[in-house]
Amino acid sequence: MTISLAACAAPTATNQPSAQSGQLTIYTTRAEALFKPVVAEFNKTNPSIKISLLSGKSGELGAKLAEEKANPQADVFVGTDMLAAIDLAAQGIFTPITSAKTAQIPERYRATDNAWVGLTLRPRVIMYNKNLVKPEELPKSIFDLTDPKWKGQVGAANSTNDAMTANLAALRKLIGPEKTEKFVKDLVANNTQFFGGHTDVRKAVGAGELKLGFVNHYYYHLSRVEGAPVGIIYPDLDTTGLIVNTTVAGVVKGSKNSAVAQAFVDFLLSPAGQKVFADNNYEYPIVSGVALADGVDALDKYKINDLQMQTLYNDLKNTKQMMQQAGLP
Amino acid sequence: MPLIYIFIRASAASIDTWQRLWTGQIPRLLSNTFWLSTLSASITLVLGISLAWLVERTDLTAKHMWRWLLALPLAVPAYSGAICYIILLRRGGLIEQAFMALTGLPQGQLPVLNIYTLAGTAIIISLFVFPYVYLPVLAALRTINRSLEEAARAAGRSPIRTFIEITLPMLAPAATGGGLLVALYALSDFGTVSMMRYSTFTNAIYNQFSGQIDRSAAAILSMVLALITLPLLWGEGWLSHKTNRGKTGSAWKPVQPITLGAWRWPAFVYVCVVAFLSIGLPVLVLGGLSLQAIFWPSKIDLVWNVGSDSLLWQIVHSLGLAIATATLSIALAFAPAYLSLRYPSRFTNALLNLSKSPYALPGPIVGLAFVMLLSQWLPWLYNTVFGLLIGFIFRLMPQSVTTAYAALETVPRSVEQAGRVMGNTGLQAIRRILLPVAAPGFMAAWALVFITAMKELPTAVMLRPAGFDTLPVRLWAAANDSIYTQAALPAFIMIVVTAIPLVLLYGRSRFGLNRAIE
Repeated sequence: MTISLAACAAPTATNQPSAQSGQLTIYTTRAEALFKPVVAEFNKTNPSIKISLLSGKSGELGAKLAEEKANPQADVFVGTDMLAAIDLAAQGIFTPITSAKTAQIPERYRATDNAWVGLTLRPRVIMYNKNLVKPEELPKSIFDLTDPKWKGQVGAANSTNDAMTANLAALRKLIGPEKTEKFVKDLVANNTQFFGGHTDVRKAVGAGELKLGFVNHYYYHLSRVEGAPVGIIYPDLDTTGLIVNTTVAGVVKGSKNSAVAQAFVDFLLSPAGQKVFADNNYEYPIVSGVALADGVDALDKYKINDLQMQTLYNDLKNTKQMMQQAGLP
Repeated sequence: MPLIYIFIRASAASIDTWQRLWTGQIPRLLSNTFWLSTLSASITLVLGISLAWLVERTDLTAKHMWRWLLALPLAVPAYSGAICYIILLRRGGLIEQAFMALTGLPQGQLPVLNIYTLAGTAIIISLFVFPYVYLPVLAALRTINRSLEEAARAAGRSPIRTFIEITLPMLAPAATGGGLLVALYALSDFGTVSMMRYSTFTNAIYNQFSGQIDRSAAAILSMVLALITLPLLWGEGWLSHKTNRGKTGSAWKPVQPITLGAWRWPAFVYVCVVAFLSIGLPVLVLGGLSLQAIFWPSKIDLVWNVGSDSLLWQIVHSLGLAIATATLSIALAFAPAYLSLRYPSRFTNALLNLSKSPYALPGPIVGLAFVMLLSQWLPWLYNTVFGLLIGFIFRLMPQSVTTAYAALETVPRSVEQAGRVMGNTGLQAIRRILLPVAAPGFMAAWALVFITAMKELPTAVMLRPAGFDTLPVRLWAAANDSIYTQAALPAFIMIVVTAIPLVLLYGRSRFGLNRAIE
């Protein structure tokens, strides 16, 4: 017993992930199909680690993690929304990540104590149907989406969507609560079509059901590789700059396999891990110097706002109330 | 226990939250949920009674095939039915694509039916749950005394007037019972309403609960839903009690069917259309998409194809779980069903009602309550297949108890008493006489629970251990991301696997399934 405890506590463990064996349970809100290649890549260098995946929606997994706090079942959490991860961190679900590679991540994309770290970037953009929208009438700002000429022609995610919520929380910081509420009300008044998720939005735009969609950037790429006639607009570059969310990883506090868990997160931040995690979903690796997937435009030529995402969390409850008041479905 | 969990969570909510919900969400949800239940029950009553009457009382073409074929929609989970109709009818869907290919017209020329409405949702639900009305009415038509109907015909009334004035009142209890089951189904449905983007209590609770910050709101909504559902449940129990009292068991005899005459072909077309919309179309669409995903995969399919080996495991998981759930829960349901049937008292009726109460709770909440209970008090069971099995058994307890009750009811008390007179003890009488006689009914009950367990989604979502995905979970994940080609294959496999026991059962025992569903 004492021997195994000592082995677990050995600080050198994270530096030699390939020497380890054991098992790992990962809860992820990322689709299993997108996560399996990451596991396969990890197992190339760590063949003796058996990984079990539980994928689900952030509400389900968040509730499970909270109820399991006394008896943790998961070792690693990999999520798709930064505010959800901050919420879990606030509930004391995570233990700090020890990987030295966290230093490469810009400060605004990780917790001050490294309880969670960003993995990939996902800016909010507008996608459009090339057959239905002429180049000269393309909107330049998300506020153009409330223009009556697009009435009933815009798709967006509803209030149950994490990315939409985070977007509005960011907007409240950038332009103020009143203007944000007006924006939401105008979207609703303009008969914007709200969906539970962005896939429905991108499908509707790709199929010509709608002309414009307010989405995360990779939905454009997913439609593009499907052969749909779609284009992408990076909005508000002269004003607020792009609003960016990230995928996140955290190690669960009380994990029985914490050394392996730390090694896995360390792998996610390595060039190989970043590449495979970002590629299948056309995202931007958070560590610089990793090649982008085919057809993905480099992000550094666009202006990104410098919001501290952690501060948005304190405003999350108000944001949700605002969404309800403004009538966002 | 989950009721207690909800109560604790709801009482922890601030007055502010209560107020916000009462003035904001609850009125809309009440009206949405009410209309969906009412409309679905009405549609299924019309479909169920008319189909049963045509099959049982008239010289409808191919009536012996329809008898069992019209039970098959039970094998199609309503949420996978919804996926089919979405794929076909949405803008840019298969029908519009076919129209564009045939006419060469650009997109947007064909007016597209908006199916994301109350009517669309109710029709889709009805197409897949009408057997809840059809089967008991079919059984009632067989068992009610024919002499009244024959007297009415002899006195010169038309078949239609006979049906309306004589037959319909006698069918009322069975039909109402079925209609109530449909209403209960509509109240608790989660997958279909989510896919049809129609908000009722169940998915509002789920969404509220995904909002994370304030889970007490979800608990409040659950409590309101439970308060609506419980009276319906007990009403259903009370009604089925009454129905059975007024029945004459052995009055059935083969009689001359009513001649449809000129109505023969319209009636045949009507039955064909219902069967096509509720079975043929889903099988065709899902089968076609499955083939497309296998033989002509798109780039997205290649990324999303989690691998056929894992699909195989999901089939094994689903089947194993459904078989174990059906077997254990029918065995467990025997005691409350037997006690309340043979020794009716306040206590045994309360026991029966209590075992039906899981129906009143939305699946995600049952799942979460189990997460809390198991992880805190029985950690060695939590996140195991066994823990998942317990959740399934609890979730399906109402159905097990009602179907087991119906199976036992087919055995007259006198038969069991005769056994005791012959010198058997009570337990011996149960083992030697009651169980063998009730066996076909129990097989039917088993099959029904098996079918429901195969389709069960929310409990599996919340309670499965990592790596133990079932077919509905895979379907749900793919459909959530609108990767319909990948949702089609598990849905198709599920329908085929579920249809097998249904067909076998109907071929084997004469009064098996319709007796049990009553």
